[in-house]
Amino acid sequence: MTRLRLAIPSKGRLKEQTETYFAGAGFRLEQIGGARGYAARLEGLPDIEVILLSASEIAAALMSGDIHIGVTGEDLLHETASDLDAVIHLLAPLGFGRARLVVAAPRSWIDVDTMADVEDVAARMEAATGRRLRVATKYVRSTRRFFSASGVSSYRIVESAGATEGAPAAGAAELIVDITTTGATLEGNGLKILKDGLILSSQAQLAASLRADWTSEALLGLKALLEGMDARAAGRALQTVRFSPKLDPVALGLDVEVVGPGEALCARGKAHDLARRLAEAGGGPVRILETEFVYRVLNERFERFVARRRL
Amino acid sequence: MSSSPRDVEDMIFSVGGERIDPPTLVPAKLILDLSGEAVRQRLCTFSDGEGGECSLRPDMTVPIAALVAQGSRALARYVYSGTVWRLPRPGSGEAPEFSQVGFEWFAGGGPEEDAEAFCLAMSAAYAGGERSSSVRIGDVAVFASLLESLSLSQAWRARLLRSFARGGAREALAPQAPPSALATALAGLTAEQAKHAVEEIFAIAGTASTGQRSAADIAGRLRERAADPGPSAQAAAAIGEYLSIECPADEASEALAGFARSHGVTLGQALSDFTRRQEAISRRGPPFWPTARFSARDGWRFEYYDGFVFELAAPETPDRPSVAGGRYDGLVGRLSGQAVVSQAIGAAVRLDRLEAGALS
Repeated sequence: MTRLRLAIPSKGRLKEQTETYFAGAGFRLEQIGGARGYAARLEGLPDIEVILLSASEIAAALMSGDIHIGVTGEDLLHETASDLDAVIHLLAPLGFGRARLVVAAPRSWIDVDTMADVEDVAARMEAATGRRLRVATKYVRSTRRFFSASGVSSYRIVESAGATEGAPAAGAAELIVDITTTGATLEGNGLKILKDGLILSSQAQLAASLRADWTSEALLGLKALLEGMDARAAGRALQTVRFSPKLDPVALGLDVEVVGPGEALCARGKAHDLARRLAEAGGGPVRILETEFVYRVLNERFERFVARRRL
Repeated sequence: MSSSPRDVEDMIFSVGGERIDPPTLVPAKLILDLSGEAVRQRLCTFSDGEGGECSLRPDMTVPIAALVAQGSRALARYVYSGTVWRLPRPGSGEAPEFSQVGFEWFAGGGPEEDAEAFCLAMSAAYAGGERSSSVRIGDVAVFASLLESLSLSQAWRARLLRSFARGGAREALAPQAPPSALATALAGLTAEQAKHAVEEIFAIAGTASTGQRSAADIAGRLRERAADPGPSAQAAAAIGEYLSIECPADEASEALAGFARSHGVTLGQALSDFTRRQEAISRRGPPFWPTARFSARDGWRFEYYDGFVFELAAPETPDRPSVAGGRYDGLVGRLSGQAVVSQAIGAAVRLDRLEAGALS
């Protein structure tokens, strides 16, 4: 594993969004062996080895250091690691795959709004019936950590393989811990989210494993990828303004980044105002152009990761 | 003459008691029911092949107390030396398997026995080569007695005791949200009327009653909460101040008596037992006692401790005691459904945590 090894989700919506994200950054994904292949490459980054895995396998592979970087949900990273910060460096939140990991109780429990209520009801239930309150979840570690931090100890976890939200109605558990986006599924199953029951607000992350074997080649691959991603993001946030090279916008007191005679970068949304002022000052005709990529000397994300690895 | 783990064994076995070797495997449920899901990450568990879950014993106290609770063993004094398994905290560098030497005494009780048990545990650690560690003592019964003497509802007393056991007593004292309008309204009805009111609410909202709780349950809890304002500001302040008491052990009796006087509370039997125990220990003069400290803090090692508790640990690693012990008068009754009831006290020396020189 000398080249950078990147894992991306192999199926579902997360896969589509990841592909769209990389394509947006100028790196189109090509699957080797067709749509069902489990290896791929990113156009424009030939030195990166891309593999397709399930999102939870990606979290596990980051923990073990079998891959350098991967795209997966924060919820899965927290579930897989007991001490996330020691093993994982989050390189970039990707802005999709948003979900909340929450504690939900039956809506009929109108006396229960908080984790303190859960603690109380759990103790009463145990005293009255000798049985512990049951919590159905796939997120066993996250549940344990959160319940312990909330001071709830009298409960039992029922591991659920799927359709966790049905467990209370089926009589398999009283509470659930699960991910939700809109809360509609929970509501449809007669459940409500506790007021202080938010365990984690999660989104897809590009994460790096601190346990992987970071060869210089792998580091170069990461640098190229991050630079490309950030260049594209910067390109989207900025527009290019062209005007007469005789004019100096800085001398006019205008807030722009001059990149050469007659050319400046300007935050999107401010370009029209700037163009108008430049034209008034005699710099016309002023043209506003879309900027696709803006590369800079230093990539902050990469530098942060390098600094982190030195610790 | 160098000391060794053998010396720890010799010391504890010399005082007497029957040697006991409880089963290595215990039902995971036994441990989880006592200590909660949180301990699961420390347990070495596996499936027993019939859908049940087994665990390698994480300590000796619970499996021995279980034998006594089942009636398989008499109420007597036992000593042990054996391996226990606990998955170490990540990064601690400790082994998941280690040896404990200790004792569990049943059918005794009282401050004299507390002192005897404490002194034996300290002498054993000293025999094992422990020198620079320091002792911290506490007493769960004094806290329980403080709660008794404050005017608290039964529900609040139980809640604070639970939070004390797991180490969150201060958090439990945080101001409560005022009862909801519905709870206040239900409090003005009879239990039967309140139950019907809740059933009507369910019918209007189209809510099915799920989660193993009846409308009567829910109405009852709402009524109770509306009628129970929780600890008064003075009571909360007294509890908060109590939890901060920390002093040399030989000043502890006076500190507790002074605390009781200034807050107008009676610590009763618990305080007189505490004082008698202190005197008994001083009379015996065990190792480590001159520098021992008393702490009224919550969250001692095991949730089943309900009286005198003590720990011996190196100053730089207070959370890794080489000796931990305490009284657990309620445990046998709890395990046997009150069929067998016995006062009990025990302590264990963790050989892997004795000062490095002791293991050579």
